[in-house]
Amino acid sequence: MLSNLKGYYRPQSIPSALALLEKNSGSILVLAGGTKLILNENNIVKELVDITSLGLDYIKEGSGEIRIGATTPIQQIVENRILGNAAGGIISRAAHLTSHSIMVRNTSTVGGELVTSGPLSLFYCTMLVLQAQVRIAGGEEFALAMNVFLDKKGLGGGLLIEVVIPKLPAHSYAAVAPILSDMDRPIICAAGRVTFKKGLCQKAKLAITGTPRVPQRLHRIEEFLEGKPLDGSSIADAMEMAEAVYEPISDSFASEEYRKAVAPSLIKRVLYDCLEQAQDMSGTSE
Amino acid sequence: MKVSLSINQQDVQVEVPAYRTLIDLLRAKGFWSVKHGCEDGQCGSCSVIVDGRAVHSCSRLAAQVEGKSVTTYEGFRSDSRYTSLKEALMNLVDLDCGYCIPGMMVSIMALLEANPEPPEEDVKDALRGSRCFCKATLNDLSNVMEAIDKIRGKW
Repeated sequence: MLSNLKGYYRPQSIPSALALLEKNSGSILVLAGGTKLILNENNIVKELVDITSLGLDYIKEGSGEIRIGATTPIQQIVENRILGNAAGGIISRAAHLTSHSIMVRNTSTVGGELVTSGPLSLFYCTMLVLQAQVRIAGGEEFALAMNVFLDKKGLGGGLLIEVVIPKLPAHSYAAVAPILSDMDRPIICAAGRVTFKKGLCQKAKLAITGTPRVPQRLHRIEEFLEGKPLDGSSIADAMEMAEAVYEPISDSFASEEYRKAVAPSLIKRVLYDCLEQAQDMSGTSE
Repeated sequence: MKVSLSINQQDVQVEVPAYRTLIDLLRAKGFWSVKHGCEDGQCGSCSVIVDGRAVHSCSRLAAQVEGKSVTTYEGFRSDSRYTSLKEALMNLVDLDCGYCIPGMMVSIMALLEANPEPPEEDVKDALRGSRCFCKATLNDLSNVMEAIDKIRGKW
């Protein structure tokens, strides 16, 4: 509960929202859905800037990318046909797995999901492998790669206005592989995408949750796979590497040992899923 | 601060402190079907429909529903078409106390508003956010699907 909350602003433009945030820094926060903010005991926040009137609730398809406004509810991503067909459906699937409850997904927003990302954030993990960017408004607009945005710890007084997801290149396939708790909460998840050329893995992007602070890319495995055929042998090697490079955390959902033990299997599931999609589309011989 | 909204199709204007949650506003107005449960956005006891979507009223400030339309279980309680649905839900959870039923009803009503012929998977998904504190797990949904067919006049 926000017991010291005194002020609530509903600006109608991005410059007005930025002005409020700049003037009252320290005890003011941005509010979109509020699912994580409102339920927590918080005596520090004194004012909120509700950004749901800024026109940032949209999903737009461009020629090379899909843009999702920061206040778009997560459930709209689950239901959206464009996103259901994009990137093997992993954006919609990741959105669905953010919460078992449709009531939460109806309220939580893309921006909120990303700025509150933690070690188990499957949606952030998926955005990492799709090489999404976030656009920030703050004086002037600028774009940041997803990992840079969270590594730099925050928005520097700016406002996250949209997520830009590049469309996958031809012959690219993507997959997610979660392990869910009994409340359908992903306790560990791997995500990946593979681009094939002439029967070989031309590019691979892999990421995994359960790492300190936020999900991490698995660069060493990606580099290992590139230029090799994706088959039983290379996937087995990738699994071995996963065991070596993955340094998970322990939390109330799973131990470090458990996550380390299952990570190779998740990498295997992601890579085989991409391979099967490619074979279904006869894509590996391109 | 002043908040204007519609509750069960009645326009309302209220003066609330900024920290007041929607559940507290609704209960103060006498809508007792909206129940305090886990207070953690997990159980669905506090579910209401806001602009056609089921949401938790415990994790939403009253200020967030400015200009919006809120429907509680009281909004359709007297509609006889939904009696069969209520009975089906009571069987579904092998009713001991009934505390969770209004929240479940609200979830399914929001679903039916968006899609009058939902597949069973969507009904399951709608109910996944509701928890029965007596029995914890939901049984076979066939009674609920039959009730939905009844509402559509197909049974």
